[in-house]
Amino acid sequence: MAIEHATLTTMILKSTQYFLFFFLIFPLLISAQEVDFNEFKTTKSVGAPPRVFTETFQERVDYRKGKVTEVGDKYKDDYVKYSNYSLNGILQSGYVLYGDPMTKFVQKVGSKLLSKHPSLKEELQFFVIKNNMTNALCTDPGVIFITTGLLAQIENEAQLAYVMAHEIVHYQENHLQKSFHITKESEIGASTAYQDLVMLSKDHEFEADAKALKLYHAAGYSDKEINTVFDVLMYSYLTFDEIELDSTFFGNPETFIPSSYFPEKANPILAYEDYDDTKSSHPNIRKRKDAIADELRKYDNWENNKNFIDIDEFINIQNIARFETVRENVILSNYLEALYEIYILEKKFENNEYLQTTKAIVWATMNQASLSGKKNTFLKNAKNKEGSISLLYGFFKTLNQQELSLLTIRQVEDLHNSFPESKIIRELRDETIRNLALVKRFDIKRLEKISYLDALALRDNKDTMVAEVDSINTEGETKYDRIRRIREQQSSSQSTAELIDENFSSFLIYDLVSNRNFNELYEEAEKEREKEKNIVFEKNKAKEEKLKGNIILYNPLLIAKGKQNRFDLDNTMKFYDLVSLSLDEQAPKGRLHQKSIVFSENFTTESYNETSMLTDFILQLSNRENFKFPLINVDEEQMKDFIKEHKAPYLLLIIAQARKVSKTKNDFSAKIEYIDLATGKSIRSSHYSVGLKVRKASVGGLVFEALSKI
Amino acid sequence: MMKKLYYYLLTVTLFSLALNTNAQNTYFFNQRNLITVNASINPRLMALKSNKSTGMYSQDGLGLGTFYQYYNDENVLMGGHMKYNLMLNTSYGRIFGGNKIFGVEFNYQKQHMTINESSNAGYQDYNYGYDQKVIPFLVSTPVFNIYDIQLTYGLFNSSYIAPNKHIISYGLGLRIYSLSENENYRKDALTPFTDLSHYMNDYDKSFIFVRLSINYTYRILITKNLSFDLGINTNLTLTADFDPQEGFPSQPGYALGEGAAYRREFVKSRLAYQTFFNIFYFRTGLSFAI
Repeated sequence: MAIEHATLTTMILKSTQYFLFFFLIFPLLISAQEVDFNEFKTTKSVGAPPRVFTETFQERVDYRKGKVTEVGDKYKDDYVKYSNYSLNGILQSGYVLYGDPMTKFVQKVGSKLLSKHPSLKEELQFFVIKNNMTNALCTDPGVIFITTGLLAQIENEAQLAYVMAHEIVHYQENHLQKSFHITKESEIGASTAYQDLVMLSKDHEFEADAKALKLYHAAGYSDKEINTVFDVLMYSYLTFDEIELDSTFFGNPETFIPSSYFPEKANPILAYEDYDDTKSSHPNIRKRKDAIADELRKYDNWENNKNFIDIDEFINIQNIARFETVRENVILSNYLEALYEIYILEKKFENNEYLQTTKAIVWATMNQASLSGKKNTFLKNAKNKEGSISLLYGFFKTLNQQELSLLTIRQVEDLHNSFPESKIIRELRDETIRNLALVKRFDIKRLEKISYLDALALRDNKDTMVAEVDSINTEGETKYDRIRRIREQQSSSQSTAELIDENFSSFLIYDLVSNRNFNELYEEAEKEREKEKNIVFEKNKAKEEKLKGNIILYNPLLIAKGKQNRFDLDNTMKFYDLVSLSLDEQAPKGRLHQKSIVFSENFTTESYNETSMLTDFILQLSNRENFKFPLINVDEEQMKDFIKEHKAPYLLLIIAQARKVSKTKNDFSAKIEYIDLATGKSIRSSHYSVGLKVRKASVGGLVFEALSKI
Repeated sequence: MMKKLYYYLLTVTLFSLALNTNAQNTYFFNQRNLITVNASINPRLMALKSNKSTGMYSQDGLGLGTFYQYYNDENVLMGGHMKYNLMLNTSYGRIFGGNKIFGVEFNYQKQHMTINESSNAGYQDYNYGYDQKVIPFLVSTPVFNIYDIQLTYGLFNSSYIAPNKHIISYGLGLRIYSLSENENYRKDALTPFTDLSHYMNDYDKSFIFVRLSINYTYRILITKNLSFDLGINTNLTLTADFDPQEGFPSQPGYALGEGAAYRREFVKSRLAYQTFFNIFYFRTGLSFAI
């Protein structure tokens, strides 16, 4: 940081041109980085792609080969190839960020830590990766990843610095190479997952903990933060903050939720330092804390810095990370986590449109999952939840389908009233009302016209109640007006529901019951449902017809396995090459677009961000439980732009696996799926399977199959 | 015979239904037509008895195959031992319904007819005392051209996209034996058959059998269109009744003179008999899918 400043100053002094540039343009650049949380959009990569994205696989392998010292010659090739392939897997997810505020911050902390190690600074690259795990990851080529989950959990820069120092030591001490050497003898490449490939020994972890102190101390951070880092790790399974749940969770004060629906008290937080770590990659927190306490004594004259970089910048990136955490929980269908986190963030960001829109999305999606009969899937592990969130789990477990549906309408309607301009919320509101028609054994006539609290008050003051009798003008009254009038009379003259906790849901949408729009939407949906019932059999014509429009090919997932199901890197690379070759031969000109970074010659930041959006789209599709309904996309707006730009494209997914079953038997199978980007519906899916190994004919056949009906 | 056929067909149908699950509706590179050119080889599995010994109990265990005799260009009687059949196969098939194939197959084979399994049953020329020359009879063995025409129905291994590695197919059709007329048929070295009707009754009339076959083929892909095939055929010909002990040509009691050397019933019975021993063929060749 200090070095950068020096160069900037000299540059400014050197030329007035630069002077002007910095005074005119620099403020713009700074303000461009400010995040408007009201219009929060998921973080995207910005600017020129870093080296690691543009290098080809071979270039990176060749470069690393010279640097590997701890792996024997026999396995050096394998090591470099496998470790780089794993890195590719991470990069291809589209989740790695560059040029964004979070990565910039992390890079600044990295520079601070490495200010006395210029060569190391040159070799290492730091990136933030969108992931809710509280984790940091060091990969062999010197690329270190910090998850948004970690950024959301830590409290200050110093804690981040310690975690980063820990990862730097893993790189410095070649821990990956050393542990690869150990695992090598038993088996190699059984898995491509980075965690499996680089299962570091506990000794390496202790060593990294201890040696990280040197970097950390030299950078001038406070020793008091170190124990907290271990606490952060220990409690990382909880959400990024822990606050009490009260009635404000449901927003509208008129919304009556019986307290009997909640568990009596929240599950206690049980995190335990001295857990059994025999099956874990890291030693348990107790052992690590003890070991580090001894190490801490070896250093003296600790400074007391928690932050070197402006504290506002840290708070800014922490907020971004927390918003990202909410978003990822929606994508992963962790609805209650998302709601609880929104509830936490609401305290700080009142009336934040992004949070409230996301809240509407969560409620609507959750309700649809419940209507699909899948409520238990998002409530699983309720018993293991600790802290306030366990109350939410308990509450939603108690709700039945009808109660959840009505509560959802209540929530989304309230949000609609707070943000009447928001198109997305309005659409969600209409959708949830339509969904009411799908509730089993639901009778709209049983809905009450007054809120539960008003009804209670009325009961208590029965004598003072004055019935409202007006002369009614029936001229020009439509059928629905008449029905409504009759119902109004009914509900004011007689109480249909008893005032007990079980009936609370009938009072939830008291203000909507006589709303014309509400009734129309509901009736329309009812009719539609009746119509659907009468359709006995309809042949899926889409399967036979050719698809029109553009095709977006998402990064195909190809894996070749050798003997005993072991991952075979060479064949996998061949697989990708052949797919690329066959696509060149067979793809219809101008209609097929590749949104992937496997074919990295044309890597651009724009297409990388698009890949990232598509990855999220696919993740949402695969995690959701409400298949009957059109997908409610968290990136609705961006997706709309994307669809418009590519002229209503279809997304093509290819997942293929080649396996050597025995000496003479090969198996090559793939799944091909076309997805409508607007609704998330699968337009066509086919299965391709041949008894061949990875070769031009088998891969060509797959590509042919994928493109045969477009 | 109809009863037998009924059981065969029932087996075939049930077997096909059992295999026909999980069929895919698409084809490998959209290949729907399969043209094959194969050659099949088949060991003639008829047991041979000794043609040297005249002893009553020492006739067994000489091997397998067919003895035949013919006259060469110098009209000298020659003997031969035919151990294998060679058959040429061509077929065309159309793939439908994902993994099924329906087609037509043509086979061609040329062979000597098996008259008897040892020379003892035939004429014996004694050179009193020491030298025994065993010649069953002097008439040339008939040579037949065999044509098969059959309809085939096949199933590819349903877990793979068709056409793929494994095909089981069934064929039902006709096996036609027709006497090869361009041979040097002779009654003996001095007497050629100038008129073949003296050689065989109704010599220009084919012998027709019903043929049922069950085949397995393993395809090894060379390019996306061309495959190398390996397979096993079972040729189950529905035979006529036969009686191998009667009607040897030129035997005592056999109609000679103005009558034909080979009676039709005898030939039919011998053809049926030998087909019974020629069930298994090994097949290899190329197939082209488009």
